[in-house]
Amino acid sequence: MKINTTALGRSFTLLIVCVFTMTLNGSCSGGSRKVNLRGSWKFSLGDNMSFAKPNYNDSDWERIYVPAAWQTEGFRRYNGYAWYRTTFEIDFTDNEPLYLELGRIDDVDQVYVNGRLVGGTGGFPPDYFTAYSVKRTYPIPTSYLIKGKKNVIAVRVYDEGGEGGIIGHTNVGIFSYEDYYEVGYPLLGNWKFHLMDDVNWAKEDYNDASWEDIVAPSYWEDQGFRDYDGFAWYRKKFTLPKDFKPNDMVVLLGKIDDMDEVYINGQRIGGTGSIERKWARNDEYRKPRTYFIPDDLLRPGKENLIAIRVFDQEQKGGMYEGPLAIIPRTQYKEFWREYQNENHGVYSLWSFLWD
Amino acid sequence: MRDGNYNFRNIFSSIILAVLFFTTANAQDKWERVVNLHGKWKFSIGDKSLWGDRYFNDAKWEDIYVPSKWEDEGFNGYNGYAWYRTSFNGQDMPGKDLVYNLVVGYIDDVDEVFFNGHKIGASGSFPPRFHTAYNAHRNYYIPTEFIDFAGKNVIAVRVYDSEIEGGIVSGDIGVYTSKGDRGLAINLRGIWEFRLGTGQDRFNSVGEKTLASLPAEGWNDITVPSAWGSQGYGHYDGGAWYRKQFTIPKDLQQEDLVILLGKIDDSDKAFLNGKLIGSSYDQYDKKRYYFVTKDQFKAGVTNTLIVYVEDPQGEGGIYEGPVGILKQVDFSKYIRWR
Repeated sequence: MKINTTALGRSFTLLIVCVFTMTLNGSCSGGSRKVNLRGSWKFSLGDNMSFAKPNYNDSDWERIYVPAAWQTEGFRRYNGYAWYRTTFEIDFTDNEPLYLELGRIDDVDQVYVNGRLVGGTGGFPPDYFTAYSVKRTYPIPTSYLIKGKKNVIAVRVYDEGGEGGIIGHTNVGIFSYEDYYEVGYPLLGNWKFHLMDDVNWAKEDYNDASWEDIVAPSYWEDQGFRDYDGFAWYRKKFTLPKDFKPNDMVVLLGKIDDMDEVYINGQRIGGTGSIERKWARNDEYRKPRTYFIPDDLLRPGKENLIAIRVFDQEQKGGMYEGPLAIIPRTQYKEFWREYQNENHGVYSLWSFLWD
Repeated sequence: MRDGNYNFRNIFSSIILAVLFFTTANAQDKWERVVNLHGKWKFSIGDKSLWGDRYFNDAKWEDIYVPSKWEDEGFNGYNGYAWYRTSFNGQDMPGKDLVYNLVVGYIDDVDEVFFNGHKIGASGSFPPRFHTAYNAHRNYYIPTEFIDFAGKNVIAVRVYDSEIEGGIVSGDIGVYTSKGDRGLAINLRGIWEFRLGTGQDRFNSVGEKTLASLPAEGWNDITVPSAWGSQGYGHYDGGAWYRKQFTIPKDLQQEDLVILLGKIDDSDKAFLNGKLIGSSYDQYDKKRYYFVTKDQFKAGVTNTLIVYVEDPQGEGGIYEGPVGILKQVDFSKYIRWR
C-alpha cells in the first residue's frame, strides 16, 4: 500500500477545498496549495522590463487586490500595460512539481519569478493577440526559487480593452503535484510541441530544441495554435529516480482531442482511434487514455522520452485534460478514485456549464 | 456645394470603412496604416505606358484630391483612361523586416498599380474585354525588393472609367503593414494568373491529368488574395484556375516547406509542378496549409503553382491571406498567437 494515511488525509482536505472553490469559481487545480497568493499585490501602470527584477524597488507602487479586474479596483477606463508584483516564502523539495496558478488574465501576460520568465500567454503588441479566456497555469522550476527566503513574482499585463488584469475565476497561488510522486511519476507541465507529422519525431535521437514550449494539460488552441486542425506532436524528456521500479507500469494521459499514438523511448506503446485514417468517429476525445508500458522499457536513473502523435479533426485540439502520470498498474483504481474525488467528477459538470 | 459633397463623401467612406472593418477585423489580417496617402496627387487624363515609370516627370500635371470622384475635381463628364501619381518617403516606413501592402481603396472601374515602375496589382479588366471592379477594395502587396527605404517611392495608378463617376473614389488610402504576413520565407500576395473553368471541370474529377489540358495562353491577371466576385467576375459560380510562377531561393533547397493559400471559397485542389499537394472540400472559412517535401520543388529555378477553385454560389476564390511559403521547421512558431 503506497498511499499512506497522510496522503489520504491531505487529499480529503483538498477535496473539501476543491468542492468549495469550484462552487465559487468553477475550477480547481488538482494539486495541493503551498502558497496562497490571493490578496493585496503591488501595482503600477506602464511598462518597464526592469519591473521584472527581484530587487526592483516597488515601495511607491499602488496596492491592488488580486484577483480582480483593475477596472473595478480604481483604474477605470485604463487600457494598456501594467505590472503586478508580490513576494512569498515557500518550502519545497528539489524538483518538486510546482505550479503557479493565476486564473484568467485580460488580455496578455508574461510572468517572472525572481527575474526569470516562467510563462506567458497571448501576444503583446505589435503582435497583439488576446488570451483573456485562458486559465494561466505555469510550472515553476524549483531551481528558480529560494527556500525559506523572500521570492518575487512579477506579472506583466497588457489589456487592449475591457476589464484588465488578473481577473481570476480560480485559485491564485502555488500548487504542488508532489502527491503524484507517492505512487508514480507526474508528466504535467512543460512539453515540447510541433505542428505537422513525421515518424522520426518518435525517435530518441531526434533533436526537438527548436520546438515550441507548451503546457499540458491544456488545449493547443488556448496556447496560441489557433484554428489549427491536423497532426501535431508532443515530446517530453524526463529523468526517473534511481529507485524507480520500471516494471508493471501504466501511463495515464487523460483526454486527448481527438486521436493519439504514444511512444516511450522510441517504442510504440498504444493509441486511440484510427489516426492513419484521420477520422475520429467514436468520440475519442472523451476517452481517458491508459496505456500499458512494456517491462524494461523505462530506465530508472536515466533520461526517458515520451512522444505523442496527435490528430485533431476539428476544434481545440491536444492533451486537454489530466491526469498525466506514470503509475504502477496495481495503483490504477486507487489513483483514479483519488483523482476523480479531487478534481474530475465535478469539474466535468462545471466545465460543461463554463464553456 | 463642393464642401457639402466632401462631407457626404467622408460620411460615405466612413460607412464603407466601418463595413470593411467588421468584415475583415480578425486577428490574422490585422492591418496598421504606416503611411497616409490621402491628399493631393498628380493627375492626367489620357493613357501612356511611360506614365507608370518611376522617373517620369509629372510636374506639369494637374493636382487632384485622393480619394474623390474626378467629376467632383473638375473633370466633369470625363470617361476613359487617366493616371494618378504620388510619392512618399521610404524613411516613413517602420522597418525592412515588416511586410507592406498598398491600399488604394475603391476605384471606378478598372486599375493597374505600379510601385517604383513595377506592376504590383490590378483589378477588373481594361477594354477591349472590359470588366468593372468598382466594388473591389484594392489592397496590393508591395514586394520588399521594390521598396526604397532610404528615399522616394513612386506610386502610379492607371485607371479606366467606363461611365458616370470615375477615379480613386473612396477608401482609407495608404501603406499598411500586416502581422499575418510576417515571418513568411516567400510572400505570394500580388498578381496571379487566372482563368475561368470550361464548365467541364468537376471537383472530384480534376486531377494532375487535367493540368495538361489547360491552355498556355489566355490567362488574365488577378489579385490574390481577393474574391473573384470583386475583381470583375461578378456573379460567376463554378470552377476556375489560379496560376503563379515563382522562384524558390537557394537557401530553401534543403528544406521541407509549407505552402499557405489562406482562405478559399469554397473548395480547392493545389498542384505544385504538376503534382497534387493538397485539397480541401467545401471549407470556405479554413486556412489552407499544404506541406511539400524538398523533392517536390526545385530551388533557384521557376516553380509553378496551380490552384483549382470551385465555388457553387456566392463569392468565390482565394479571398484572404496569408498566401506564401514557409519552412516546416518554422511552422509552429509562425502559427502561434496569430
